[in-house]
Amino acid sequence: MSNRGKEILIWAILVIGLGAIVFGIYGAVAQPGEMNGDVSNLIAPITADDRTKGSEAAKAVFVEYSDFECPACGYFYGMIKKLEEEKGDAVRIAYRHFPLAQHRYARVTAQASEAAGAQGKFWEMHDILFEKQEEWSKSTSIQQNLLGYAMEIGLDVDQFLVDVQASDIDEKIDRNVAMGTAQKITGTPSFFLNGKLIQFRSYEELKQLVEVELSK
Amino acid sequence: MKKNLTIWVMLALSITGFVDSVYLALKTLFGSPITCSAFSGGCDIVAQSKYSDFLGVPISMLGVLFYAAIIIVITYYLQRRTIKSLEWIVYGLLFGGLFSLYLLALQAFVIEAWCLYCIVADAIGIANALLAIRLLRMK
Repeated sequence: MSNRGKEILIWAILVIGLGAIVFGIYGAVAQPGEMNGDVSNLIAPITADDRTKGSEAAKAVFVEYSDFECPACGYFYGMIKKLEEEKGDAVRIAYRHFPLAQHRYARVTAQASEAAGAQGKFWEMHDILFEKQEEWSKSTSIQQNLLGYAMEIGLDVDQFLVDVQASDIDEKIDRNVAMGTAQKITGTPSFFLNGKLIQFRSYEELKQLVEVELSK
Repeated sequence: MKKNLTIWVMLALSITGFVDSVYLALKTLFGSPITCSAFSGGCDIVAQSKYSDFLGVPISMLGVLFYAAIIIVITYYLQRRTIKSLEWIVYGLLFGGLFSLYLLALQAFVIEAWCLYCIVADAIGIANALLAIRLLRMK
């Protein structure tokens, strides 16, 4: 082959190679939800172990894997809250813990929510943690923040301090994480609506998904 | 290390940097709607910070263009062996090394979160710059 021919061949290989890298990676990242067909079905249905809110007769049942320190979970919290207000009894939600390793306070806040749950105030703690996420996630004294929230929602603070460190709460969080891992969820929040993994970017999209379920 | 080997190592590093940056850029552009990924380490925090853009262009996209340009110039140099193209490689990589240091400093001191894929791209940038300094000394 002539030198010119060789040069052209090398450039062609280079262009095709770089292009193949781009397309290969694009295929892998573009649609994460739809790629894993079998894991898009919820494998662990709601049990008495789950923290749930809403009517058992609800036609739209959500299961959420979430992390209190995850900014995206904080963002979607507002949408779910609005949906609950708008749809009332038609919506039921179960919250499962999936604290991520990169969030330093994800575990302790999950423990705090369960400790509040031991006094029947899981959802109150859940709400305040998401609403004040910006405040405590940057805090250097998380214990103080959590104590403050415990008082704010009217918990027995001494009992709360004992429960936060209770091993059964820790084990429950581990059970939730194990379920999420078995489900192969790729991040938080992961929402399942009536057993199907869903993705939405706005409140309108969420509402549409719910209305389809309600009309069934 | 001989000059030729140094160039080939630079090429291999740049291809790795290209793959890494393409992943980050595509993830930013087409990835699932805002989530905290279980596998990305702190990449969400870094990628969602206001420092993830440079004059409106995602940093990862700049990485893709930078590494693609370096790969092209190195390929050109390996064929033609011109001094001019060697200079382009050396100065390009020195600039890339400095920019990588800036990005690492941002993660360490400003965003206070680390993203593994960004660290890989930055480490390659710095390693390439060190090789470029070596080449300069050989001249």
